[in-house]
Amino acid sequence: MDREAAPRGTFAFLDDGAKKDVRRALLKAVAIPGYQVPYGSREMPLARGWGTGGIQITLSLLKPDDIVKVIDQGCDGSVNAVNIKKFYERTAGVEITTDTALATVVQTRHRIPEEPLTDRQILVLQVPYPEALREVEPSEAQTRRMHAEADYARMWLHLYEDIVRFGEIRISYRYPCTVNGRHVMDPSPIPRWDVPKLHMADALFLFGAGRERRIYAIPPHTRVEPLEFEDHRFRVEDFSGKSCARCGATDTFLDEILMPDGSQTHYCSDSGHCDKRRAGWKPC
Amino acid sequence: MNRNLTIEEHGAFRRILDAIAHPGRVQKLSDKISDLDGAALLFSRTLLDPETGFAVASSVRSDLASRIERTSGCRLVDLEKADFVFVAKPGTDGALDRIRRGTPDWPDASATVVYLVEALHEEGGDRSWSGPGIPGARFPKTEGLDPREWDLLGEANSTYPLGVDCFFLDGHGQIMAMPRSTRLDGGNR
Repeated sequence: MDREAAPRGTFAFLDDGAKKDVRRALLKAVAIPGYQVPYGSREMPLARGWGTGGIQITLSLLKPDDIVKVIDQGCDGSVNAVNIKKFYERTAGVEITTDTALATVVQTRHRIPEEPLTDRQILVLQVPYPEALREVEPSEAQTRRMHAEADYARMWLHLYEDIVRFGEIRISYRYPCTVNGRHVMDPSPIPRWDVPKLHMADALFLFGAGRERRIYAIPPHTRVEPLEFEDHRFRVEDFSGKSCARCGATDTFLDEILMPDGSQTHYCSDSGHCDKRRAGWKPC
Repeated sequence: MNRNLTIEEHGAFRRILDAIAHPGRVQKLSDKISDLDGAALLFSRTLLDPETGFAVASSVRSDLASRIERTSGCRLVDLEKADFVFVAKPGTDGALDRIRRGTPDWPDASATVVYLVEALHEEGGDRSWSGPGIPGARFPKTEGLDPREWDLLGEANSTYPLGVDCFFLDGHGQIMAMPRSTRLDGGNR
């Protein structure tokens, strides 16, 4: 698209009132890391549950000179990611990339890019279920009280019961974390593999839940600690002995694919990173 | 709404967000603005609207207050009810006690304090800032603010997650922020 040709209509789609509401919530969210700030989620040209929380955050902060990457489960080419990118191109005239290193804003569903982010980048995560404690407490009034009192005993009990029953904590996605030593937070459905990337990072992480109208954040250089026991430490997925069939990577999160002959093969989940490596780029 | 004004606000918001994500970092609010009134008005336009109440403490000029009201459409309210409180030299003079700090259930129901100061520097201050957004420690320096204001802020933010988040705007159109998560140490050296 010709970036000089100014798109018509409101810049970045949302009306001023909606943007300011999201912006005020974002500043509160950054000031209280891991705490879920309520905001007035607006109707969007796609249904709630398709990333509206992330989209409203991105629209509130885009600048015309931004370079945006949108990924869905690690893939830049999914229908949903492509549609969201077109929407940003049309309404804000931004440039689109699949290269993590070139992006100023990365919007993602369920993955954090393999390539480390810098302090000049913002990662916007789409969140289906913002409340980490919902697993153990259905009542919103109760979970709000638990956060207010930093009473996370039932979450710990829930994890302990897992260990008693299965010999390990069986949470593979949405692994609960303590942020800044105070608030327990749902990191969105990223795999365990990605959770350590949130800890003391250089980039700013913003989380948007459109359906439940909540925004939360992890600033750079902030402690993010997965809940773990002395004798049952948090562990990431083990891919030892496996590698990506496309680029040969042994240091990335791999998707398991079942082949027609019944054998298993593995591919990088982060497609942009995989393509870059196939093109001869070497990670530092 | 004028598209260029909208784009200017988007740019300003990114600097505001960057400021609160990196407490103690000093930067221009906009490349086009190098005065305090311009910065205060652009900050207001970017964040305030008829949904928000603002108040002024101490010696904020009444003409600036009415321009903030006019450009952003926000409502002038009592200090105790304000979402945004603008403060000029020398400081709140103790009025910080009356500003909303949120509640245990809703710590976000708190005021944001905007200090209008003479000059901001990333170094040379006598208090160390540490916490989220700060690798190690920073020692920012603020000219044109009563040093006692820092003790009042320390007090207001002593029961995290309750507290107030602060922005500082200076005479060169620069911005710096201190969220409630920032820990202040020293100051009597």
